[in-house]
Amino acid sequence: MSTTTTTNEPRVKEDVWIPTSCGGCYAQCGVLVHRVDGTVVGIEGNPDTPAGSGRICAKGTAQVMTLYDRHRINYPVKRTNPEKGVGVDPKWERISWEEAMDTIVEKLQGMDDRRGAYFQATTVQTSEIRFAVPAFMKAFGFKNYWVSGGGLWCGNGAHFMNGIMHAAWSIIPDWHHNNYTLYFGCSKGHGAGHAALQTAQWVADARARGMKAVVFDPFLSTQASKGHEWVPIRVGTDGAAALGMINVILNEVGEWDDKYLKLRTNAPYLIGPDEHYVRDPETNKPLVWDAEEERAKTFDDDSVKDFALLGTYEVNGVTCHPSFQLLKDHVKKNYPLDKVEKITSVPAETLRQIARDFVKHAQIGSTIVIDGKELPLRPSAAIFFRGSQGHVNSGWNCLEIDMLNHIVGAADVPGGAMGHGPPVCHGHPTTGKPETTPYACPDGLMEVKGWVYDHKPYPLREPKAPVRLDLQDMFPCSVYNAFTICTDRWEEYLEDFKIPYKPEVMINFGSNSVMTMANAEDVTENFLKKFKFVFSFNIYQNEFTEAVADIVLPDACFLERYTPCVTFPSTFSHPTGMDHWVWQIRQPVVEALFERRDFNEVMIDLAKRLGIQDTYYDAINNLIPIRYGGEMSERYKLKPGGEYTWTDIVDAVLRDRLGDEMGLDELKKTGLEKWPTKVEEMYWRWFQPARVPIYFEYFKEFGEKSRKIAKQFGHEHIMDWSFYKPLAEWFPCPSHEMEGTDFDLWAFSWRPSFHTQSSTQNNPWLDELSMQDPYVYLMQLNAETGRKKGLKDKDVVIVENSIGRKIEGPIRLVEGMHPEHIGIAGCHGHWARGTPLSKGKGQFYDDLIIVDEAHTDSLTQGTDACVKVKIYKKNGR
Amino acid sequence: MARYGFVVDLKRCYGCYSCQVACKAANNTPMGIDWAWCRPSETGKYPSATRQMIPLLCQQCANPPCMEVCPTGATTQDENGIVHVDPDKCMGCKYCIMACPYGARQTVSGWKTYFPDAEGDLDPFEAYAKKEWEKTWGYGVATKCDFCHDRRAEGKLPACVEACPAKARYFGDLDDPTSEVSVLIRRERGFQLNPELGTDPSCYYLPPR
Amino acid sequence: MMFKAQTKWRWGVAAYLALVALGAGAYLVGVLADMRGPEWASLAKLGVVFGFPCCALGGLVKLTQLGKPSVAWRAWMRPGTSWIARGSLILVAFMLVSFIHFVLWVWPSHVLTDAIEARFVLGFIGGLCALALILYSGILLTAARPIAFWSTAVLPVLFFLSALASGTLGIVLLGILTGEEFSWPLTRLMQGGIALLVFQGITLAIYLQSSHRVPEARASVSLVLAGELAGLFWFGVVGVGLVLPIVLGLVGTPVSTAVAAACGILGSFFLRQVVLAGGIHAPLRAGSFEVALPIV
Repeated sequence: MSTTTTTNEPRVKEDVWIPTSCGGCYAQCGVLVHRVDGTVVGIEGNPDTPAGSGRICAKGTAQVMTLYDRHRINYPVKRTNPEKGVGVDPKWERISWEEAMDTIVEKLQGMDDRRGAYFQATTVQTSEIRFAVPAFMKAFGFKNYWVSGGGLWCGNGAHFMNGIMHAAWSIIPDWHHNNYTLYFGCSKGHGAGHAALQTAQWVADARARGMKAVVFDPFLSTQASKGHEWVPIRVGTDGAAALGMINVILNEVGEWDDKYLKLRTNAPYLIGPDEHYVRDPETNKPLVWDAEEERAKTFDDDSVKDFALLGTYEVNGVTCHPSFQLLKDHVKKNYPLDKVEKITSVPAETLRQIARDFVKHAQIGSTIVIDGKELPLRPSAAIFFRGSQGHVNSGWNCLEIDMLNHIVGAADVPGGAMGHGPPVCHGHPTTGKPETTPYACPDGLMEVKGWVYDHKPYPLREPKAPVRLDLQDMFPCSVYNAFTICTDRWEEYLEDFKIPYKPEVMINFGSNSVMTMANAEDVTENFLKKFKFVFSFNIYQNEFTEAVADIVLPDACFLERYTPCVTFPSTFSHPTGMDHWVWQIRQPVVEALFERRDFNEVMIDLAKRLGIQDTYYDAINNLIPIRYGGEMSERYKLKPGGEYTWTDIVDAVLRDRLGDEMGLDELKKTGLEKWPTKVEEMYWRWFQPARVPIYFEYFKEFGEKSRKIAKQFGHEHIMDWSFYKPLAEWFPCPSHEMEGTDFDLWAFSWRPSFHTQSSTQNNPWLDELSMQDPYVYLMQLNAETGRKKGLKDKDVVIVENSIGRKIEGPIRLVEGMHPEHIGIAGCHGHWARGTPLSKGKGQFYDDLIIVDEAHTDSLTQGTDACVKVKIYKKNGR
Repeated sequence: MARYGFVVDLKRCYGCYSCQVACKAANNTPMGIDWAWCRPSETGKYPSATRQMIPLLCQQCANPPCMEVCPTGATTQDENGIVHVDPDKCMGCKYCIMACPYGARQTVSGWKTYFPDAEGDLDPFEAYAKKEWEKTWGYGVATKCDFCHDRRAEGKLPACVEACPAKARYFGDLDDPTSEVSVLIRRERGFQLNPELGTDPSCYYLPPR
Repeated sequence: MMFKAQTKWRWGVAAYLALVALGAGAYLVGVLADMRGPEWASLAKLGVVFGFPCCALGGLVKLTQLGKPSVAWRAWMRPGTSWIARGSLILVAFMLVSFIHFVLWVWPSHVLTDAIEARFVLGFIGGLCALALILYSGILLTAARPIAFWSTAVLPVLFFLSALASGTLGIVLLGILTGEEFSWPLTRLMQGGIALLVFQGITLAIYLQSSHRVPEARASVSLVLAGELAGLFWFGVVGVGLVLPIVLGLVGTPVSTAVAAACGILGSFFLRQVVLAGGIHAPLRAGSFEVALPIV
């Protein structure tokens, strides 16, 4: 930034557009930032990049107000009020960077056990925390972390199942070819979430050419209002609806993608009476039944002429069935439509019709030629996200919905449900990096090379006696869990599970976990206050810092710092379909103002002061291949004893991944490097031999292992182990078992597309939108329900859950709401002193969330976010 | 000469407010002032209710009532059909605001900071925006959208069109039957808002479904 | 559908309209009275007294309502289409004529006292201007077509009757204050004023009754009758502006008549404020969807 000036005085007449990456949410779109005489005066989309395709959303444009927000933290401060807790005034006092760093180093060095350090971050900063912060964890020697957003907003169930079934983070329809999408509690393609802007355009294109969307949602969400049909459904019952539809497809319609099920799933695998695969005694490989030769063969035997999907067979002296037969019988027996109607409130006929339409639109048997390759065309897809996964049935709900795709073969083929970001990448033409690809394990199931996430598709993580503070290592499928750390039983757990250290120091990167893990009080009192010292990198003071931080360091915002790559791993911003891969960097558009410093620089500094910089470098060298797929060349590895700055590291990463000539100076000119996607990468399913399960043979075994550990430490009933079963099941949430009580409404939260979790409410332009919008600061209630309760529009009501937690606010009577629900925009109702604009506006939904063992998905340990409530007028009933 | 027009495809619009904020940023409009804005709407009864965002902006009417009622001659229509306000001529009687059916005009009495709780000077961006606003408009006069006249002079599209993630906004020449806007209006049954008022807007909307 | 009334034309504009109505109404009533016979001359003079100062004051109030008063001189640049431009011209013309009328008849010169024909000619011209001014003050609002509550032919009639009533009551009030309370023309004038108030009341009822054809006008009416403006309407317009002056006027003592007149004048101001503050723009319609304008 040779011409950077940070004052208002126009010394040099300057008018430039700088390419960089937006940081308003995790979609990380490419932007051009307009700078005039040293002042950022506008942010627009960068038309050169597929990440955002030149468009920009309200959050992105509004980031100029974040850069210059007058409430930002400009200097390090320390807490002078020893009291900690929700709503406490920390009485900040400004200190020097030197004092701040000295204190932090002293606290870190004085720890009883370094394992008691804890790192907490936010998904909004994901690209920055990908390797540098985990490297610090490794170098310093601790394993505990929480990424807010991850635990509650998306987290365990959805990504876990997408990993197993698509080797990916998420699924979205291939809107370039899709004709029929079932939405379950997700807004993909409607301005929020992954690849938000590209997908918005594709969905609009698809809608314009006649794509139909059928949206299951308790309220008339954006996607429901744009869809072909809105199907009001009780929260948390998505999985039951999906199982009912699977029943219709398998037992009424009788149509499925035979070839796909036979060759790309474990549907033909023979299952014995012990619910396990029947294996070949010699090779130990799972067996299938060749219907033509009428004998069992191993699943990968090339001589299999026709994999039997149905029937009963005798193999090695046991009676067995193809797993598909078991699934078919299971849904027939357990998910008849009348039962499903009672659970979901969706009329049986509606479900039947949608199931039929879904199959019809899948056009099973049809093909399409793309780039000279003939591929199956399956223009039906079923997708899900937070709405489906925020429940006790988190994992299974997601899986049951996705199974619709696999039954009709609509997975990672044109028109179907696509793993996103794409799990196959052959890398930059010069270097072959980043490289990632799925492959088949000995049982035929899909594994991934260059897997970048914590949800490994297969095999599951081996449960171990826990050493982490949240006991996560004893569960095979979880990434985050709140039921351990956020409850008053945490210390009991730590003691009983013999965790040999205590929580001591928390390092926080922008996360506002007080508002994003569960209810504020449980999070603060049971979890955060247990740390003796908390230091935090922030751009604003927020509920977290004011509740518990001892030192707050003024972080640079995304417009003031470098990131080597925001688009890989391709989780959040990459398109699907034939377009371009893009490697996009972030660069500062102004020098960090005041005493703000990029946390990456500070962490390097900290590593040096702690004397761990060589192990830190080494950890970075090891993490880069994992995060950005492919080994690091010796030339660019960080060397012990080196004095690296953050820009040196960024430069090394760039040259290593994109080629010797593609250093930081080069990338700064365009902000990105792109190259075309290939059909083998985008529509990869039939180019890879791997299978995915429709029968989860291994769950039970892993559940047993986990249970054994729990039992060993005296907590056998910590989870409901019946969740670990091979066939998909719908388990009710506690909220589904409260019929006949006073608590007659389900509360749920939803997100306006112009907000990012808890981080944008204080942006004045976005706050202005929130105030104009009829639904953001008011809670939506069905008009008829309101009338029955004697409530009028804008009446202020108390919303109270079954354990007496309350939130309050005005209601908006609407027609677009299931009569048994109240919909609350999250995450509002801030109370931090540091963000006066968002203070007291809207409601803080998460305060209603109950966190305990019963409100946790036993399979993935996700938190149940739906609650049953009663509502009444504020001053008396 | 052309007749510049606008098409908002309600079918594509999903109500993200991106146009509204892009307009604010591009035109440095002060707090509370939006030349492009969005109004959510709901119709029908549960369970067959529907919702639709209606994005609005100055409709650049062929028969602009704002110009008709303007006593000072500050409001003019250029040869491309775009209605302009000359801030030097406008006396701020607000008659145009009463006469405009589309809520397109707003007046600003003075600069209000977006950070009322903060101490000290305006931040560099707000200081810039204030300076630009005062240079172009000042206070007390009617202000409005001119389809981003200055951006178009630089060969760009209006800010709201460029920002729209769903590509729901189109700008072009209504007089040219082959232009994208003309084709869209013809092919997709484009309609004007409140045509009974006889204003003949140059903004057309395509049906939501 | 949430309707919101316009916020830009409120008390200041109401005061301007009321002052202009008072000035022009009193003047018009005055010159008409003058033409009836010499016994009316002293009351007619009072009517002329009202003309210029009320309009000048109204004009000043209006200036304070402008966003940029420094270019107020441009107000009459487009009389071809704009009612504000036309109104500004009429206002200036009326102020000019009524000023001359005042200067030559009331103070400092009295030349018109005997030059009756000249006075009538001047009065005729001034009366036409006053009439135009009164009509303008109603048509001004009628021309705002998207506001259905304003855009009706009844409104100019209502404002016309209200202007005559407040003008009449103005003369009565000034007459009592200047010791004219026992003259029979004043009593007659007061009776006329009461009759005008009754007509105004009937017209007001017709006006509100007729404003129900479209939803936004219905919303205006409910705003006036039962909403935010109900207090001002029932207390100010109906109570103070109509019932009180009619009742007190019928009582007929000088004090009650003076109070009645003052109330009636105040009522005309409240009436204009209620009409202005009840102005709601039509919602915008896109198929079956309707949206209200943002706050205008």
